[in-house]
Amino acid sequence: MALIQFNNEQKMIQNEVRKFAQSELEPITSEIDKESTFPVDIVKKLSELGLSSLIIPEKYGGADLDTTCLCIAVEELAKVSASVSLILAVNNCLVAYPIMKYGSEPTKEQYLEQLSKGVVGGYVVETGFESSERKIEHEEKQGVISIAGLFDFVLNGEAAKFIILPVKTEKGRTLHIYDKSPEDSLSKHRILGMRAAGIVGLKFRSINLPNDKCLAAPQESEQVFQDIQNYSDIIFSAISLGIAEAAYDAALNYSKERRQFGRAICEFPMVQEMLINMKTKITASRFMVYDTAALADMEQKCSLNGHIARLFVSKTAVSCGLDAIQVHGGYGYIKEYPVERHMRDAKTMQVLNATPVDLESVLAKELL
Amino acid sequence: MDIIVCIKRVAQTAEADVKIDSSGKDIVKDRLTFDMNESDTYALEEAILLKEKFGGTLTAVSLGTVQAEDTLRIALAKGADSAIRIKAEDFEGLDGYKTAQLLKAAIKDLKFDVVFTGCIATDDYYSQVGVTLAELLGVPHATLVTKIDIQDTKAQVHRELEGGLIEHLDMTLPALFTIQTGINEPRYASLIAIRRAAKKEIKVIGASEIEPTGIQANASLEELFTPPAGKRAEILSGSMDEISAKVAGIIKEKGLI
Repeated sequence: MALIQFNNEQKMIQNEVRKFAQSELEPITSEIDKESTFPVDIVKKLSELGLSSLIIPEKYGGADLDTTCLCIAVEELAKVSASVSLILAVNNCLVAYPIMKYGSEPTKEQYLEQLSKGVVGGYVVETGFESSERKIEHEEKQGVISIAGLFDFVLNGEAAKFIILPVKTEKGRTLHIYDKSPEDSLSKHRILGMRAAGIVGLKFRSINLPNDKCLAAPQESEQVFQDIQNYSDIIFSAISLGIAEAAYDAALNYSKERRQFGRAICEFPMVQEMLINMKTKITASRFMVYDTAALADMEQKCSLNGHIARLFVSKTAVSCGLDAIQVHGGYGYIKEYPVERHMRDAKTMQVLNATPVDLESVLAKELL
Repeated sequence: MDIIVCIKRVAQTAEADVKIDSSGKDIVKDRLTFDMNESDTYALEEAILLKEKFGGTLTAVSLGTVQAEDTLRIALAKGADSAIRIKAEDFEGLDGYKTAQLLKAAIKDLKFDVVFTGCIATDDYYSQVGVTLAELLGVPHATLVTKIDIQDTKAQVHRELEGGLIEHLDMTLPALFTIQTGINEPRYASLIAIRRAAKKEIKVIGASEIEPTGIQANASLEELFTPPAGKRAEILSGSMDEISAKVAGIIKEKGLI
């Protein structure tokens, strides 16, 4: 039996999302990247099909599907637009997942139902970087934490109606849901990759985070953060996988079309070697992503597999992006061809919420 | 209103590198992707729109191998109530006529007001199944349909002709329509609908359920081949400037400008 075997449901999801991506997303992909536009209409359509609430239980209006299905959908979207894939991935694995797992019943009802109706949720990535401008002030009065300061990387921040916010307190970290306010000032970064994913900085003057919106109190928060990280490792690996495949497909097609010295460049052994290396790493990556997803679906421990997948697949995507540019020669470097975007998006996946160095140190701890 | 839609799972060959297999009668399919025939997706959408407007039942039927059940499940996810697969593996030499006969055998006991098919299948390009099926069912048909407006048992139908002409027909139901692409905007199946459809049962019928008497093909496939390059075809070589100059020369030489 093959290691990766998709059932009927999974095959159908793969096909429908692929068709949607090719027909609806492909025509705007280059433009939204160039203009750094959050694709509101596309996200709305994907929400209507159930993609932004893919893992949310049906009783809260979600599609109630498993981790493997989420990886399939995210991979297919990433083959066409990594930014759009990231938007949907964040909504599921960094917004819906923590609420599903750690929210109280009223919190679940309030926020999961919003997500199922197409509301975008955001997630603050902790950078650990503090300077005079970037100091997050916080104080706690009668159980209510209030904070002020600038968070540099808020995933989905541009379009999010509410965000999942980690806060450092004297007692430890907490995780809160915060309803965004018009008073929060939003700063759009000029970023290398994932340019259409609505990653922004958010500055809060002074906001209150009431207790009933707390997903993790200090005493349990480390385990909660680790759980969310582990889950997002699987889903984010699937994004990198999609990017790597897109880069490979573009390189393969170009190598068949482009002729030099009287023959297609795919006939040259050095080009073949690059293509073979890309395909080999992609094949290994697919096994890692879907094996880890299957373990998660069986509720088996898979944090180690997830870290390994994230580390390996994100490196695969970057190397495929670079090799695809090389296969394209000078044309790989200009924006008329998609491969420079694949490379930029692939690199971004190595700085969002887990860098290769972070993953290696976590892996070392688990292994030693 | 009771509706039947006939759909086919076909290889996506438009942009693929198509090769003939060793039998010489089929193409190599192992690297091709398969999906619902394009005009069938429009036929299905038209059927769903009618069902949403008038209520009733919608049955999707496909003659195909077990993989055709994936295509039928998409029809179920989009809005069909039930699905029937006719086992293609039980029958040999399937031309348009035999296919229509088998479809008729599968649906003859169902109630219907309208039968939809796509106007053409992108694998064999027969364009026969819809019209033959209408004849076998003894109902009127219209081909290349681009608009349908139904009031009670009357249908006003637009057909697309060459030269941008549209033919307007008045027809009485029950009837069969072969649907042209572009008549509507086919929907995508939502994930919840896919999850539900994945668990639905598909009725499968084969040689043991279909009375074989009289079911036969009118034509047998002898050979598939790639035609030799014509004498008038010429592949120009050289740099972009040289090729452009040659093309301009040829156009002038033929007196086209």
